[in-house]
Amino acid sequence: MARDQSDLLQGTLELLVLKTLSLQPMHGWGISQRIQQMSQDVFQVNQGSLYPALQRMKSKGWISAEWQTTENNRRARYYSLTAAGERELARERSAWERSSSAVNLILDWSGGTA
Amino acid sequence: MRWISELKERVHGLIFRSREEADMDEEMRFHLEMEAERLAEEHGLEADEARRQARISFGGMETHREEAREGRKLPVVEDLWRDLHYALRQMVRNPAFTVVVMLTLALGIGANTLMFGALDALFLRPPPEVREPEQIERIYIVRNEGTMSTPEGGGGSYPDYRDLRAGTRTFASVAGQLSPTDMDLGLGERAQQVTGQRVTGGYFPTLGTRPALGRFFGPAEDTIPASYVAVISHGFWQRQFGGDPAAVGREIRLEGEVYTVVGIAPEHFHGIDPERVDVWVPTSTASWGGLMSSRGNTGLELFGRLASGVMPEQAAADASAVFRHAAETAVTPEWLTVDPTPAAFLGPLNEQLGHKRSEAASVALWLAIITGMVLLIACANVANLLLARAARRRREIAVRISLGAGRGRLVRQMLTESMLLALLGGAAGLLLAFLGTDLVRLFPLPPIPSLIDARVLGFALGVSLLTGVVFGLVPALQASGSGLITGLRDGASMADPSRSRTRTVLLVTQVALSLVLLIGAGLLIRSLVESRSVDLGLDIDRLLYVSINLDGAGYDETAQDAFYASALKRLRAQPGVEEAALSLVAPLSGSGMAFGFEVDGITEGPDAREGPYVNPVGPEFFQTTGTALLRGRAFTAADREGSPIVAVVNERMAELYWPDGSALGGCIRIGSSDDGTVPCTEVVGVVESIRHRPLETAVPKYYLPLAQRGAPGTILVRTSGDPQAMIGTVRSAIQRLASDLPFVNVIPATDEIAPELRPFRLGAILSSLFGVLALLLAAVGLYGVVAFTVAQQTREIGVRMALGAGGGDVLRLVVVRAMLVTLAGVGVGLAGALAATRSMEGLLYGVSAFDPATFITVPFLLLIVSLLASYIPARRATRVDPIVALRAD
Repeated sequence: MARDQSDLLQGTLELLVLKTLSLQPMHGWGISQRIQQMSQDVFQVNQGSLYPALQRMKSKGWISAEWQTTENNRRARYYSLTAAGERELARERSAWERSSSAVNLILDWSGGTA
Repeated sequence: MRWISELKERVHGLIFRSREEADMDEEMRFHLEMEAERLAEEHGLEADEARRQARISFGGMETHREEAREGRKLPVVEDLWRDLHYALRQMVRNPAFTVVVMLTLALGIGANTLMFGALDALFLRPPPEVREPEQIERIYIVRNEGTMSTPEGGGGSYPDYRDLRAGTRTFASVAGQLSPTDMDLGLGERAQQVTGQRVTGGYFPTLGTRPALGRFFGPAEDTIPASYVAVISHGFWQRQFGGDPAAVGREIRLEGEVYTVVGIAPEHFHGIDPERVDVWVPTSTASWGGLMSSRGNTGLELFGRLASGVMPEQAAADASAVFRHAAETAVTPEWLTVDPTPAAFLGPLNEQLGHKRSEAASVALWLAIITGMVLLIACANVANLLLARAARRRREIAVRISLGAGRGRLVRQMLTESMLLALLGGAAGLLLAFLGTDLVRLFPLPPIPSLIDARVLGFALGVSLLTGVVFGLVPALQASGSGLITGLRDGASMADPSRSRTRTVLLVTQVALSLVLLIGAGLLIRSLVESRSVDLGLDIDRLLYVSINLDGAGYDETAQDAFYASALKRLRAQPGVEEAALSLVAPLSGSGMAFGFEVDGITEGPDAREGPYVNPVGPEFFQTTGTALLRGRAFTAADREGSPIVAVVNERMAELYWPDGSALGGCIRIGSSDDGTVPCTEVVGVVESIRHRPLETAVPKYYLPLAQRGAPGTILVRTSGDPQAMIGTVRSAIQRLASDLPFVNVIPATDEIAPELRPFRLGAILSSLFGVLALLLAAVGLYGVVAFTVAQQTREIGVRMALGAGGGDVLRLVVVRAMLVTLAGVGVGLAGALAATRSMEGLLYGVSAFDPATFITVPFLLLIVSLLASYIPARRATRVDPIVALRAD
């Protein structure tokens, strides 16, 4: 159902945000830029939908938000990873690795019986 | 604990929604600006074009806002709002239903709240202004001393108190108190009676109470010679001194002595017993001889505060050891029997919780069970109504299920509805409880400011919620569990058998419970009637007792005689007074005086403990009391000092001592003399027996002329009308005789027996009230169910009528069904009542717990009521127009 699909996308987006914020605290626009850079433009984040996701993650306690001034003196809301966020990142990463290695195993399987 | 932070965030979101939104708006604006700048820089776009492109790639701002809003919501709370809204709409749509349900619940919850208030005050609330009351224990002493034995534990003497205070190692402090008594305050017309209590010096220190003003007295002032110091209650201070702080140091005249007010007790302090006390004075001020030194005078109730870390068992053993040691070493007069091995045991500070529970407290407990049953009936009633309504809403529910509403969601929604009803009913019930407060004040409750406080409110809330679950759950589960297909099938108006079975069971339960309650109420009413119709041997409804403490006012014997003579003259001259007479002992008071005596060689009564009692009375005594003279003559003015000594005996005495009927002319030798020659007192008359105590069989008694022996103690006044209305007239008539009189105490004779009748009265009034309530609820329930059934069976009835059934047939059909249900309930209820009434035997008087009259009348009454309750809606069924009925649905 539609719900599952969006859950999957949501999960991926959250993982990417967590990863981005694990490098350094950043505001929303910066996060969207960094994700595109890191994924070499494979992931085209729907820029607006980043913000509800940020709120969701904030309400789960993974990230915290704080208004700060940017280097060119503008007010921006900076997000940073909380301890719970770091744990979540580790957990999601291992889950991701497990499932992707499983997928790799299947893709690499040559058809012979073990 | 992630869910906690998530919940916090969401609740935060609910409250600070606008701030969150503002934050997000601002950061989205920032994003757009940055993105526009980037696009302008990297792709060389015009500023306007860059902003446009940025907005396009960003997507709809409102969509994102909405998505965030959704994420912030607390679904349970949102659902609750929706459910509440829906429930309110339902309630408004069926105002009659809502009112009936709310009223039913209000009655049930109100009655329980009221009784909880009483139970709380009687059993649970610790006495106010007492420090750590749980550390204070009552001390009872078990002694085996002949007629003065206290096998169930009794009080101690002042020496006991002194011994314990000196010898205990387990009590931090000990104290004693005498029972509160009426004390005369002031002289002349402003004289009044207050409740005074004599307490030992350890009383206030042990309770750990702090005075509101002034100081309390201590052990140093509780010695001989007495210090006449008094502590007054806050209420007394307000009434008597208008709350003037200068009251401390003022003098008050109590029982003929002048006391100095040294302190004022805090506002709600009433000691450790429920009675209201106005004045506390040291035990040493007791005027009767020997209280402070006699080991035989054991009227002192003892209590003590445990030393820290001491267990009650240790303290009891310690106290026993102290008393035993004292019994071994104390020097006591030879004639006093002293138990060499007294034992002490401890009890809770609140005597209602211990072995000395008052009758009123037992009645209160019993009534609490009754109100609990009333609430159960109310729940059954409401559940029934909800079930009936759910049947009507079945199609709506089926539609909702088919549209994807989950079963849990439906149950939750229906429970919200019942909770809302319960809470509203609870609020109305609280109002009823508030209005009915005076009703429970009939109980001897502690003088607490308000029966309805935070605890009672909490109880009402708890009961309401519980009630909501109890009556809401079954209908909710049933409704949500009903099959889709049956619900949607057209014309599904035939009663679902399982649902109507539940309803029948609920109705039977209701009828049965009401029957049990009504039979209990019936038995108590019969007891009250029986106890009131006891032949007391006098006209209780025409009598006033007047008593004045002339000793305390310094009148000597001659002055007293002169005073009483003029008082009688004055009273007889009052309009509305038929007769007045003097008597030493007030009849029915339960107190009596006995002399050594001998009748034809018999020196003891057939029952050694009771009588014969003696009462010296004036010549007009029997005329005043309305006691019938059976044989011989009454006293006359000629029976005076120097004339032959005579006596009048009561019927009981005549039967017991002169069984052959030869009482007239009989000889009673009263008292003893050194040479053994006691003169004969001749029996000149036999009178009807006046009860010694109202609810006990008559005891042998004889009367002597006051002029020959004894001194007056009470003036009896026979009124031509209601004695209550004459109290003021009688009091002021006597007060006008002298200006220095202490309080003139005037009470109707009925007050003398009121305490003995109170349990019946209370029980009869309240249980019949609750019983009628239950009956009313059952009738409403029956009516409601029959009405709904009729409404549902409109088609069936229409078909029958179309096929030629007459109105009478339909009427019979409906009524017979309802009556079968009632009969089943009566059957179950009778069995329950037979089991239940046995436990109330102790509360009954003159009527068996299986009184056939009650057991026949009450079911009959119930059948009539249910006949009416089903007849009215059934009548409506007969007016069904077949054409309309068949078109219905």
